[in-house]
Amino acid sequence: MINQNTAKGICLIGIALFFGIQAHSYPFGSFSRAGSGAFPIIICTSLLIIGIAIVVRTWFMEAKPLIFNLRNIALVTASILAFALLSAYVNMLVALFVMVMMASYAADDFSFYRAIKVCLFLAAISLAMRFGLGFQLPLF
Amino acid sequence: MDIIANLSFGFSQALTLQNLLFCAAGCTIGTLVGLLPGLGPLATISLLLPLTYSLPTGGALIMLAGIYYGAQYGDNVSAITMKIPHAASIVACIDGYAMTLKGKTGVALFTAGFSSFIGGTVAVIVLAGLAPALSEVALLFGPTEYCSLVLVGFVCVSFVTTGSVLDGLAMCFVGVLFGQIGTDVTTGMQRFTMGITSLFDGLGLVSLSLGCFGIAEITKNLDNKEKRTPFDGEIKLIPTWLEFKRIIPSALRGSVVGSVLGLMPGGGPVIAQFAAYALDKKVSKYRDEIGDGAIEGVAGQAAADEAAARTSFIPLMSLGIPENAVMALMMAAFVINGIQPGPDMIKVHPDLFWGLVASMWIGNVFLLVLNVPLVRYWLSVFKIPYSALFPSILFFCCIGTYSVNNSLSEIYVTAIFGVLGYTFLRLKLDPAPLMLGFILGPMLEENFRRAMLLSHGSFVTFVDHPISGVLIGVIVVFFVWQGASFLFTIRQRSFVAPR
Repeated sequence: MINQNTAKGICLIGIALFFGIQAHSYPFGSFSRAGSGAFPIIICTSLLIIGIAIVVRTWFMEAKPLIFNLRNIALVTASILAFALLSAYVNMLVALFVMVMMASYAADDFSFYRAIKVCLFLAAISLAMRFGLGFQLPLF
Repeated sequence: MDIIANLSFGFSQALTLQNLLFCAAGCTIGTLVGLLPGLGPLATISLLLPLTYSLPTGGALIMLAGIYYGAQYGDNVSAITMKIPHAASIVACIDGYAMTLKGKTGVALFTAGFSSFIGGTVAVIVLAGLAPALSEVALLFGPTEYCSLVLVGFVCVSFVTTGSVLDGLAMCFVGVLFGQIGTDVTTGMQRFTMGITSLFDGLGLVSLSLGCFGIAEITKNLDNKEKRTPFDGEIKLIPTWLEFKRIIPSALRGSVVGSVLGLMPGGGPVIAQFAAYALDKKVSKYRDEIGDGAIEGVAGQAAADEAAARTSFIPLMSLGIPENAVMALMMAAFVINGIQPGPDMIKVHPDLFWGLVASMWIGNVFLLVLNVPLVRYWLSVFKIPYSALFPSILFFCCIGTYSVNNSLSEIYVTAIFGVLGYTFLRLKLDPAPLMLGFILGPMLEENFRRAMLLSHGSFVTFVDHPISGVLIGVIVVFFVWQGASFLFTIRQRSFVAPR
């Protein structure tokens, strides 16, 4: 079991280090003439301390399991990426169809016909946005 | 008398047909997103931000504000009828839902609607009276004071968000770091861009907020496998005279509590509801009934909710500091439209300021007249299955980010923040403080640099200046209190023998 609080602390420490290491290479200057690196380093240090404090705090608290449903977030993210890629290389109407199908599959009560209906509804809306409201959507 | 003259000027601005339409649109969209799962006011406001480029400034701001307080009302409706609080109406679930169980849904909805109206009215008066006065005080603020004020805001926001203070504070700092991505305005240096040209201008606000609040929230809702049964009971709206008389005192108490707490940094509707509910439980004549379906349990919190949603505009419009995440987005909306919220706003753009204030009261009337009698129709949106709803929301999120610059690369950023936001939600880290940190980060850095330059690098400047000193004192006292209560809990736990 992954402890939610430990994971939280480690995640924050990771973010602090990710930014902190980069900020380290920027000029710090002095406090009276702060360089580009000074402020980020202060923030990263504070975040690092908080991250460590959260990890230490877990020793005094009951462990809680981390719930992370990889399938759903993966499907939703993949559907968005597919939308962006297909809009760039094919067109937005195809992209819309693929996105709705992929994303709908994440729902427990997935129904093909319902997904088709949603596609048609959204296609109508995007056509209205393009021709009615003048949005620059690459629909075809 | 100034207030009356100013308000009547505001009404003359807000009562144009165009602004009335924007206000009605805002209230309607707000109620809808308050009712529906998946989209909160934060995601909706960010979704509509790109649209505000092409709208008249006053109308756009009136609409966005309407979404915010409309959503508070919509939230109440779903909490009362089905015990589903989406964003911020946990308190309404207690007595509101208990009233539904007793078959008094209609009365509960009327109470919520009418109390919201009272709360909103009181708050508009407070807003009109206090904002100009506070903007005079804001002129005493220099970089040191602004820096300390932002820090106080972070601490207060962390205190009211879900999870511990440390979690909230950490998220504020994460937001500040995200806000650092791009070109450093002082030196022109590229920071944290990793050579990606589209990051040179910084992360897009819309991509970040739609990722963290739209996509992440949708996916989290997908994980919850609870079945929602649409409300199908009877709704009899009109209360008896006795019931009606019970609404007023409680709603007035709630309005005052809400107006005050809406002003506080980190304040806003959530904390105001709890405080009003707690106050009613202490002082109400019917306090023994609160908890199992008392009118007071609905009236006080609904009034506080609406009042706080409106007075939380005061710090933004007078000091230029947003006190919560929604206000941070509103600040972005002001800036996009070329207006810098702050002490000068009332003088430079009186039409916008007073128009917005007046529109908030008009929005109140809209919410009361449109929503209370039509509540049955509103509830029919719950008949739409979530599996049809969420792909549509997803699509709108994509279109929303695309239309900022007509660029598909923004959609990739949204997807990344969707994953990140979902991870945060699963780690029980609230993304709302992140948004505040993201928007206030650049302001904090600029004022910090300026303050340090003026003080020749001495940190004493933050305690030396009286206003800043008091603010820093508040932070110190707060942390000492938090630390002491944590140690006390550990001590107590270690003395309790394991069973």
